Amino acid sequence: MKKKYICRVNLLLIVLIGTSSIFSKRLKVVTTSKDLASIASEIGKNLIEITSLAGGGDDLHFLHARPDYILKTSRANVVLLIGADLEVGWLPLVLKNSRNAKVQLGQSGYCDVSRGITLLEKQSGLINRQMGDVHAQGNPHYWIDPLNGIRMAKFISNCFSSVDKSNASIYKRNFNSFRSKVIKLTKKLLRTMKPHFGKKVIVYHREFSYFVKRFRLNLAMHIEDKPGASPSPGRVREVIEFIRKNKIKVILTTPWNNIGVVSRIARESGTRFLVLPMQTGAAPGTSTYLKMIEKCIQLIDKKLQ
Amino acid sequence: MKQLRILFYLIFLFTMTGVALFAEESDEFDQEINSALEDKKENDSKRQEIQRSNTLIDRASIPNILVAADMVGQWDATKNDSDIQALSRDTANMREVEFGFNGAVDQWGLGSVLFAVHNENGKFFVELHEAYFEFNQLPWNLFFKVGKYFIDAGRLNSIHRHDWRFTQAPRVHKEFFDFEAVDDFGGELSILMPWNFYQEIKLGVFSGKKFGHAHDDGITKAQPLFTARIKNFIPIVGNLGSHFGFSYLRYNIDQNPNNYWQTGGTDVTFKWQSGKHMSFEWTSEFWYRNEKFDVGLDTNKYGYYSFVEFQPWQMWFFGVRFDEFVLADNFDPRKGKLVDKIDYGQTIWITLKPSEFSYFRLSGERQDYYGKKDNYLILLQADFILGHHPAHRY
Repeated sequence: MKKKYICRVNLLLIVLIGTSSIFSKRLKVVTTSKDLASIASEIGKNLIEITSLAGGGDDLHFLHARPDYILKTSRANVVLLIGADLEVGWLPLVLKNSRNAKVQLGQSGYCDVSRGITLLEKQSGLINRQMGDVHAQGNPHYWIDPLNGIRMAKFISNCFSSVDKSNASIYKRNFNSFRSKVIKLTKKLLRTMKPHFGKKVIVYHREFSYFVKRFRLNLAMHIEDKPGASPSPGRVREVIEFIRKNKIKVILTTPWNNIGVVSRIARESGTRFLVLPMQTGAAPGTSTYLKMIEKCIQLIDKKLQ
Repeated sequence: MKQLRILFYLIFLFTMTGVALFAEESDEFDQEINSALEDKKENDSKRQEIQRSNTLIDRASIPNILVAADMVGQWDATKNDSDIQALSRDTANMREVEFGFNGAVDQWGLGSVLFAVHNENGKFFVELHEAYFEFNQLPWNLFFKVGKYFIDAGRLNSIHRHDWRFTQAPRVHKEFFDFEAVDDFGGELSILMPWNFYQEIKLGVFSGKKFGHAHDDGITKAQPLFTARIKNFIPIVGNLGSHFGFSYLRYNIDQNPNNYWQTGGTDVTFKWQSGKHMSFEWTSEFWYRNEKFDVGLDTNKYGYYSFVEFQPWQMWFFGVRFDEFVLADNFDPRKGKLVDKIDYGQTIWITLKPSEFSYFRLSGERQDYYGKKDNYLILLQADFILGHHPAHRY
């Protein structure tokens, strides 16, 4: 009898522990990227419980619609996404199978943060897939401009306020505090980069457009001639020639690009390359969004000296 | 004294210049930052207008359209009559073209319709592959799907052939689920369990009039086809995850309610990826079927396939698959006794994938089937996709 009782209590405890996160009263926020998670945590602080689906080193274009993403999304009050088709290859399936009405397209829990951003490289006229992996709505790699970080934070703050009206004033206050921090950091970083304004750089993928614009670098060429497509041997030769002719000092890339190709181009053209951890958590010292931006600037400043 | 005064003036001048320069710089960046953030405000109304129009497009009655073309060339190196192929030997032709439409039906659910044009020994047949309605916003983590579609049994059956990692179905799949997949009219209700790990339990009921590819409606049986499936997922480390499931099906073979089979299976997948440049997948399925007949002749069949595919570079994939199928205790007239008839198969392939919308595949297949000479096949496959291809499930 006693054994049976203990068994029942144990079983109840296991069920309670196993399902404990379901009963938390904090706003459950799921983000597709670590950058969104970092900014959202600045806005929501202890009022939210945040989970990022992607890791810091993941290429957000190419993730699997993992069942654990479905599980996390099924319990969310809010889903924050980068948008502009960046997650189109996996997120729609995750959302559909989450069975969560609150986070479906058009609901207040579905927050496409790109809608708060003025996107660069919006396509006009006819486009097709022969042009590569073109994002018709514009370049989705906007988070790397710290001022876009402010815009993202504002959008997230509005999003949280519409879902959790009772704490709207706190979200607004946290946004203002984050805004001041970002402005202060941006000024500092612009001062650091001032000696490098106008310097020519080459990049692998079109994910540096916002970064080079903000920090006034001169984007001379992309290694990918068509976005998303692996550069052909002919293209590689063309890039090498271009670097030699224009005396380009550095090639910028990210950890999820083809480092082998970049390293070969750098070696054969006699230049250097720099792997920038352009997502929160992509490298040591990038545990928050602001630390990541600062780290990128430190690295590039050192390389361009 | 005069020298000291000059030094004082110089220090003063230097300090003031520095302050002036710094102030100018600060002002410059202040102005830049303020104007960048102001610019955003000005653009707000314009952007909202664009957003509204995007929303209108999202809500409009325009479904996503998909066309998937699958062409296969085959060369039979041995010309043994060991397997009934949908394609005639030493030929190249379109194997199948699928036309699909999907989108949101209304506030309740999503719809999908998929037609296929099949090549069957040189003749093309148009048939409805799938047409179903999905309700994905039900309470209590429920999901309901109704219509005609590929039954969720194991891994391969519900994946469309153009999305398979290999060109031809494994031996056990051909035996249990036909050359492509088994579809039927019915419904499945699934629930996502409230644990802290992913577990989905699904129960299905289908017409059960036929099982496998046919050009007629089959016959009405005493009982429908019953299905059950449990799917689990365990993240291992980083982007490595393990998906495993168990499936069960019960089907009446004919109108006699005592003639039926039961099939059980288990499947396991390990997947890892590093962006688009490198990936790995290992998938295995094991199936067992027991057929019962009123006259007392039970049949037992079982088999498995297991494949590994590795992507070392962005566009290149290399794979190998092993198949085995056993027809247990079956009478062999040559030996005059009951034996386990065992078929083996091995396949290797290389896939060149320029993008997620096309690929070219070269495969070599060895079929070592019981009582028959070994067969060696060389297969060439080229597939492309137009329009909107939905995200692949894990």
